[in-house]
Order: sequence, then structure tokens, then C-alpha cells
Amino acid sequence: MRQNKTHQILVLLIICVAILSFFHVLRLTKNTALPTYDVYYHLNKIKSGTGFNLLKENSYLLDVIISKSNNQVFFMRLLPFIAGLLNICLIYLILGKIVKNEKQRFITSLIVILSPSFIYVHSVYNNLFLPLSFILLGTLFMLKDKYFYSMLSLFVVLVFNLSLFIIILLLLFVFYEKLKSKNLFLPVLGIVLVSYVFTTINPGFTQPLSIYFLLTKYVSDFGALIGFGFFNLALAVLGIFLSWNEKVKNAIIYYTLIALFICSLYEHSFVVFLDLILAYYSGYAFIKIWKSKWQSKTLKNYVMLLILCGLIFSSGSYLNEMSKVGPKQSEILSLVWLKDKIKPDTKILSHYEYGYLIKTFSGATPYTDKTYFLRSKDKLKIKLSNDVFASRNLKKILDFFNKEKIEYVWINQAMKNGQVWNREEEGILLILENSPNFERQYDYFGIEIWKYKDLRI
Amino acid sequence: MKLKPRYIILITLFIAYFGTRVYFALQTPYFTDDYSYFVLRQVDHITKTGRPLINDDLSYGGRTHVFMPLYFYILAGFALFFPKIIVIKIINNFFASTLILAIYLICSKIVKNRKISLICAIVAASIPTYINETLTSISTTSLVVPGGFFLLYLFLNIEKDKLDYLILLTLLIVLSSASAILIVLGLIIFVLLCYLENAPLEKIELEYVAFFVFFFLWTNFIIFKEAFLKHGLSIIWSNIPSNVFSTYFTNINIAQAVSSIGLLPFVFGTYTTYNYLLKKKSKNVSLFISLFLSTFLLFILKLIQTNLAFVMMGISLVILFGKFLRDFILSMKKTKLAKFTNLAIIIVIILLLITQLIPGFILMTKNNNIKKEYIDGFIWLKNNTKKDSVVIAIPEEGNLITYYGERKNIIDTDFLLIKDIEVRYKDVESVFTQKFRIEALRILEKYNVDYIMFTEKAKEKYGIEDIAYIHDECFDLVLNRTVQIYKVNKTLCTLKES
Repeated sequence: MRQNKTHQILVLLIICVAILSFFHVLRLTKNTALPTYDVYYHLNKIKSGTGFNLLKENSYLLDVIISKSNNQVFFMRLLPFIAGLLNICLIYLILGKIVKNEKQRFITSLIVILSPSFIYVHSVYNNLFLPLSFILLGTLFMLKDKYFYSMLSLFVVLVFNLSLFIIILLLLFVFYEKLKSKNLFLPVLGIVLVSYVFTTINPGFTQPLSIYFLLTKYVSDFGALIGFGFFNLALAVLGIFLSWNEKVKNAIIYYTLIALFICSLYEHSFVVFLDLILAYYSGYAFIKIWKSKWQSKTLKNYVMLLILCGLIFSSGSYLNEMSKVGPKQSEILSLVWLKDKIKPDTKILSHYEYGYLIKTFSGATPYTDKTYFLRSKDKLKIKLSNDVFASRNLKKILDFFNKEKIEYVWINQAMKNGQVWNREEEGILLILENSPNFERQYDYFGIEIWKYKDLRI
Repeated sequence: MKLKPRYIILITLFIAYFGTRVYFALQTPYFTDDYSYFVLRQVDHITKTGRPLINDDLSYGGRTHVFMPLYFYILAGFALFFPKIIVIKIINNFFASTLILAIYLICSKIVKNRKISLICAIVAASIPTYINETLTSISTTSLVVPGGFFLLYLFLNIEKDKLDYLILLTLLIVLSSASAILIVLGLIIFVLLCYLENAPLEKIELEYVAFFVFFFLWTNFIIFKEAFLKHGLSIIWSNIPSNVFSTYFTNINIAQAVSSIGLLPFVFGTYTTYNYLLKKKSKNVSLFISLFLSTFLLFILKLIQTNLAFVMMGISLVILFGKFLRDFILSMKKTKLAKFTNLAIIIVIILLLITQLIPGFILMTKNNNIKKEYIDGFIWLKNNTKKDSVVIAIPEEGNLITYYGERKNIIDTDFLLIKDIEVRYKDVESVFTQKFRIEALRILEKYNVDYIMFTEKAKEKYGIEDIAYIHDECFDLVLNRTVQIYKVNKTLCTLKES
């Protein structure tokens, strides 16, 4: 029995190593830059900070530790990878406590490894992979009735990422219901209150809720960076449906799922935790289908094959998409080129998503960045920059540039291909081309840098 | 082995129908719609390279195509051994003609009356929209519609050990066209109807539906993923420009529905739907009610193209009409009018002849009005222009430019994955309807156009007799026959700064 368990863990580790390594190989053959623009928030801190001085700036603890090393980029690639291996072991051990069936345990762990959100967390440097390890460790200790160690682990999570307090609270409510309370009322009330407080203190999400929004934000096959695989999701829904006769037993999990979903609208990274719960139901559905007696064995085999192909296709396609994700080398080159021409306080206007990248490689100050977009309550700068991007009113544009002391505009292909504009010469693009106030200083591989000249002087 | 008389009649009917279709289809070596020429290019490419044409240098001056490829492979398989256009016309019509067999088999199962089954088979095959879509056009409808009904027949007779044909047919349909969604949705609605009416569903039926749904989702996911990422949910409408949207997706119009489907099937098929949905119960009939409802639902939500909707609804209604006839005759036999039963059938046949079969036949004769001189205009491009020339014509002639002329077009009728399609569509329209030379030159320069094709179709489409600015030194008339071709004098007329 024990040997079988070890054997399963080994197989899972090999698969996990294969998938995560494959991502890095695929990425490095196309682009040597660290994947995703958000990583540059950390890289900027790591490169600019002086060890523990960063702590004063309320920085991520792991950034502080890495900033002390000599090979920072290497560690930014390695640490999520190692955490991935550790986390999959922890997930398997946790499943060992809650799932009796060995096959289900293995399949569920496999579904987790194949899930896009797991791949994201453990292939890109972020502030989730290490806290996730401690959350899983805390959960495992809790299941082994080692409450002190559990609390200690969960406390460490807060040291790394304070915004995960809601996950810890939700986890504690679930355990309270499962281990101590026979009554569902108090834990559910707790979950509702925690979710309410979280959604109240977080700035509201501005996107209208639509099927398109949900698909593109939550399903990786439809373009979500952190999301579920379509087949994982379909299988999980089927799993919930199939486990419906145990609804009373699972009620607290359903409430947690709803709470996590609502909170994920405000803090999208919570999708990772949502995905872990859904993976449990996917595994449940898979085993149910596998074990159920079908009248036609041929159809059963085909359906199982299609599900497996679907799961593998989702992660394969995600790996491919992630390997192509920005920033591109040409974007970095353009910013390095700009670095020599500007002072650190030079303000650059671009889309907020590229704020960290601009800061990291050019040293200049971006007008907005993602932190501002996520944390600002009024999002005034976002609104103003969107207005200027869409405007063809020269006076309005010049007033904005003068007032905000913007000196450069940095434009990449994604901005011209739908992120900001859909057409040539749309909005400010027409003004940039035709006004003497703007001079094109850089135009290579779809990247444009425009310098603003105040002609009033 | 001796064939039963009913099979002899059926085979005779099939041969007669197929023969008539082929006779009319071969009256012209050309096709009536632009899409057929796209298919021909795919067939050409497959026969040459073994792969479908995904990255197309000519369409839109260079673009990527997204489609289900199996149908093109089937046609290419035949085109390897026989003259291409003729064999494709014959094969396409052969597939379309098998509808007569599929409907006969289904009606035999549901109606259990050979005469009525034969009547229904003929009526279904003479649905005007079906003839229009499949006679002189190469369309996946020719394969998917009969294939879909064969599939439903096999589904009605589903058995554990006889799944091979059903699975094979499923693969064939799903890999040939995304319109297999009609069958998928029909089956899902069928399961729901059975559940609501407590009709016992075989386990194997559910298992097959699960297989079909998963297979459909997976394949469509792989093929259309990129298009979804680009267009979002509007991929359902194939990125069709708003100006032409109404020609592909129309509102409900009863008169149009009656003329496209046929009066008797429309009226009595709808009545049977109502009757079996609310009063009587029949699991087999429910399957075709479900198919009708799924198509109707997608049609009113403007999620499928009008012609395909009429074809599917029409055939479903014909099957339901057969059930109505059977019920009517049975109830008539119980009354004092029993001796007039045969007379009633004759009256129905006469009515069907007048309202359905004769119009269908007339439609077949009208489907060959493409003139050689018109096509010669496109062939002229191939022989008289440089290989990298860009030619502008109306969207409905885009694939003619790429097929016969082998030159780049600006637009054709495959809008999927095209950026700024609205702008492009309006630009092309503006080139033909514009009064001012400067504005026209701006657009022509934007797309680097070398030649303008001005055809009767363009005149008809835009309601013009001539292009207002064209008689100018900037445009040389290089071909002046049925089709006029103007060369843009780029050296003399340019808006770009030197």
C-alpha cells in the first residue's frame, strides 16, 4: 500500500517536472525574457532594492531574500519550479486524508498538475507559489490534528502575502464545520461575512459581468492568463452534479466555492484556490465515469479518451500560449534604448499593464501601472489616459501632457491591436503622426516611442 | 437475392433524383456561389500537398483560414482520379441525393407506412432551399444534412453491437462542418424532452449523446479556438460585417418560411409538433420535434444562417408531416369516409405536386445562369496580369479572383479572423459607389490595388451603371467585355508623398 503511494507520488513528480521543464524550454527557445508583465514588478523591486531595506517599502518577503543573491533571474525561475514539486506532493498527501480511493487521489493530483492555473503559479515568478505551499502545509497539519503547526504555517502565509487572509479564514471556517461544529449556520455566516468584508474593502471590479467576460477571464482556453481549463471546468461541473446526493455533506464546500468565486472577481489570483477545489470534483467525476457501467464499452472508452485528450489539450495549448506571452525582446530593447536618453523622473505614458516593464528597463516613471489600476479607488489616471488615447482633440491632449508632465509615449503592437486601439490612426495615433508637438524617436518591430515637445516655450 | 418491390421503387427514385440533379448541375461547368470556388481551391491544395490551405496568400492579400477540413478531403480524394469540376459536381449531388434514402428510412421507422415514407422522401428532397443550396454549389450542406438524418436514423435503431456506423457517421459530420451543432443541440433537447415526459431513455442512447457532445466540443474547440480569442462570442456570426448580416441571418418571416419549406409540410408539420408536444406521446417523433425546436431556437436567436435553418426545419417538418398523414389516414379509416382514403392520398399528392415538386423542378432548371464570358473575365487576370497583382471586386466575387485569376483579392465571403472587416467592407463598397477620385485613390492605395473588376453583379449589388470617377487618366480600361477591368495607373496617380 505504502509502496504504491510512493510509486504514485514519484509518477506525479515526474509528470510535474516534465510539464514545468517543458514550459521553460519552450519559452527560452522563443524568448529569454521572464514571462508576463507582472513579473517585472518583482524584478524591479529585486534589482532596485538593497536587501532588507526593501522591507520598509512593504515588499514581498521573497523579493527581499532574492535581492540578496547574485543570480536573481535564475532564482526567479527556479523557486516556483521547486515549489511546484513540493505543492504537488502536499496536494497528494492532503487528498490521502480526504479521498479513500487511490485512483481518485492520483487522477485528481494529475488534473491539478495539468490545470493551467497550477502551471501558471509554478512557472512564473509570483507572490502565490510560496504562500500556497504554506497553505497546503497548514491544511495537511490540520488534517493530521496538529493544530499548532497548522496555525504556524497559516501565519507564515500572512507574512508572505497578507491579501491571502481571506483564504485562511475560509479554510478555517471549512475546518470548523468539518471537525468541530455539527451546525452549518455559523461557518456559513462566517464565510458570508468574510466575503462581504473582502469585497467591501477591495476596490470594485469595473467590468460588467457577461458570459464573454467570464469565459475570457476564467477559462484559459479562451484567453485567461490564470484560469481553468475548459475540460477541467466541464468535468468539475459534472462532478458537482454527480455528487449532488451528498449535497448536505458538501454544502460548506459549495458555499466556499461561491465565496471564492465572488472574491476572485476582486482578486483574480484566488482562481488558483478555486481551481484546487474544482480539481477535486473533476477527479470525482472522472472516477465516477470510469467506474460506472456503460452499456457500450466502446462509447465509454471513446468518452474517456476524449476527456483525457481535452485535459491534455487544454494544458498543452496553455503552455504554448504562455511561452509566447509578453514581454517581447523588442519591447525590452526599446526601453533599454530609451534609458540612455532620459532621467529617472521622466514620465512615460503607456498602457498601465506595461508600467512595471517601463520602470524596470528604462528607469523612467510610468504614468500608471497595474498596482495603481488594481488598488486605486477612483482610477482617475486610468480614465484620463484612456481619454487621451481615444482623443483627437489636440488642445485636450496637449493640456494633459503639460499638466501631467509627460515626456514620452511608449506604444507596442498589442496596444495597436485592440488593447487600446483597433484601427490605424485611431484616437491619439492620428495626432502623433501629424502634430509637430510629437516626434517619433523609435520605430522598430512595432514598438513606437514618441517624444513630446512643448512648443509654447 | 431478390429485391423487394419497395426497394426497387426507392432505388429507382434515388437514381431518377440523382440523375435529374446531375443533368441540371452539369448544364454549366461553373458554380452559383463564391464559396464553391473556395472549396475548389481547398481541393486543389489538398490534392497537391496533402494539406488544406490554411495560410492563404491570395485571399484578403494574405490571411489564415479556419474550417472543418474533412469534406474537402473527401472531395479531394475523388478529384485525384477524375476530372475535378465534373467529379465534384457529381459527388456533391450524390451526397445531396442520399437525403431521399435517409428520409425514407426514417419515415419507415416512424410512420410505418411505405407509401407515406416514399412521399415524404420525395418532398424532403424537393425542398426549394435544399435544392438551391446543393445543386450547383459545393456546400457541406450536401453532406451534413443527409448524413445528419442517416445518423438520426441509426440513433433510432441504436444497439450495443451496431455502433460502428453511428460513430463513423458522427466523426464524418462533426469533422465536416460546425453546423453539426444542430444535431448536437437536437439530441440534447431530445434527452430533456424525454426526461420531462418520463419517456424511458435507453442507457446506450444517453451514452451516445455524451460521446457526441464531448466529441463536438473538443473538435470545435481545437479548430475555432483562435477565432474565438480574436472575435469573442461574435465568432458565432463568423465576423460577418453588419451591412451583410441581414442576408445571412434574417428575422422570422412566415411567407419566406412557407416558400422555402413548402406549404403542406409547414402547416401540418407544425401542427404535429404541437400535437405531439402537448397531447400525444411518441419518443421517435420527439427526436424530430427536438431537431425542429433546436433549429428554430438557433434561428430566432440568429445563431445559424437562414438557408441552413430552413433546410433543417423543412426536413424535420416533412417527417412530422408524414406522421400527420399517417394519423390522418388512420383516423379517416375509422369514419364513414374510409372509402375515400385513397382519394385523400391522391389529393395530397396533387397538392404536393403543385406546391412543392413542380416549383422544386423549376428551381433546378434556373440554377445554371452563369455565363462563360463572365468567368472569362477572371481567367483574363491570370493570363494578363503580374502574379503579385491585387484585384478589387465585390465580396461575392473574391474567390473567383483567387481561383480563376490566381491573384490576390481585397475581400471575399470568408470573413472569419479578418481584422477591421467593417472598415474593409465599407472601403470596397466605397470604391464602387464613390463619386470622388481622390477618396477612391486613397482606398486603392491603402490596399495596394492594381486592378478594379466591374461586373454585372457589382452593378446589381450597388445599383449603379458605372463607376463615377473611373473614366479618368488614373484608370486604364484593359478589358471591356461582359466584365470590365480597369488598371490603376499608379505611376501617374498617387497620393503618397514622393
